[in-house]
Amino acid sequence: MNKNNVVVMIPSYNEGDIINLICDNINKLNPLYTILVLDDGSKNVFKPKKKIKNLYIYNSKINYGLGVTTNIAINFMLKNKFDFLVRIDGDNQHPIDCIPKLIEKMMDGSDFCVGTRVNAEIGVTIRQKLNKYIKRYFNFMGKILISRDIPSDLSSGFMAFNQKSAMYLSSQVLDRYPEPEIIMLLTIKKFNVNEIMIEQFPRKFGVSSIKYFRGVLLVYKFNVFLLNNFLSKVIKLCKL
Amino acid sequence: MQTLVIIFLSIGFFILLWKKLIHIDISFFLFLALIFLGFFSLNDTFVSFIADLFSIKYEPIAIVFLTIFILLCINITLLIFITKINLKHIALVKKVAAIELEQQKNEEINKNDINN
Repeated sequence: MNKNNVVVMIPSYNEGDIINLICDNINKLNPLYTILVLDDGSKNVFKPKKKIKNLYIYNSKINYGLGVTTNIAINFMLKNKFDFLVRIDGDNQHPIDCIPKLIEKMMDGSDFCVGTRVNAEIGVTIRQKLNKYIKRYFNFMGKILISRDIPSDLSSGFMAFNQKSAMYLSSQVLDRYPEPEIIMLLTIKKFNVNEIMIEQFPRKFGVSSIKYFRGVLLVYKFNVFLLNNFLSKVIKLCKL
Repeated sequence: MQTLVIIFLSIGFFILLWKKLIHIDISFFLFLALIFLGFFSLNDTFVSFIADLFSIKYEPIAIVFLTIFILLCINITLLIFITKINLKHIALVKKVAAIELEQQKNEEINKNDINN
């Protein structure tokens, strides 16, 4: 495994010019990293600066959601035999300089590593407080029903896959906001799942695509996934 | 009046079929069953027979239940079709993206070859 054979995927939806800044920072961090920008139906299509190296772009005309874009990136990684795929958000909130730390953890034998945000629960607005309680609920239910070893931040988008975990996920159809689903699936299937602590930057550009309705949808989908997993366990026990 | 409504609905259904706006699949037979049920339920003997079959005391309710059952079947069939179409659509999107990214990769390789 080569720690430089990495593709960094940046999903973008109406993020604007900030993607150029993220790409620049990745180039500065390690010029050998390949960057994959997946524009998921933005109103203003992403236009890259000429000086950005190792950049691949796919502009989708329709918004299919993060699940499909993650699937596209996984297929790209597998087809081009990259050792690692790193996913970061397109809003510049994730610390890009933590990517090598993520890769180091993967080099140590992890199949999947997620960046747990230590400062994600800070905030005083109703939305931030709701976010905090939803995250705690995800964490609590995940630890009870899935595994005690499940990472603490199930909705973090800062993550890395190796070939093994990517191969498994390529056979899955991921839905919108797939982060909890990805982490839970890989934990259930006994992949070596790890986490590193990261500090998320405050949002400076754009707005979150998760509004109240989508937040409710996210919680609903999480519960359906848990119920499905619980029923599968019960059926398995009954068969035994 | 009842006969007219059923005849009107069945004509509408066959026009849709003739104009190829719908095609014959599993759900088609369920629609057909709904039309036939409408025709047969105009006959009192048929309604009594169905009510007896399911041991339902108030006879007309038997036809209502049967209609609800067929509608549920139509719903489930359509849901399965939509899910299948959705999965095929996602697979196509992934394929198109893979082709476009592969093209970019090949262009990059060609550019590097020319520079070397």
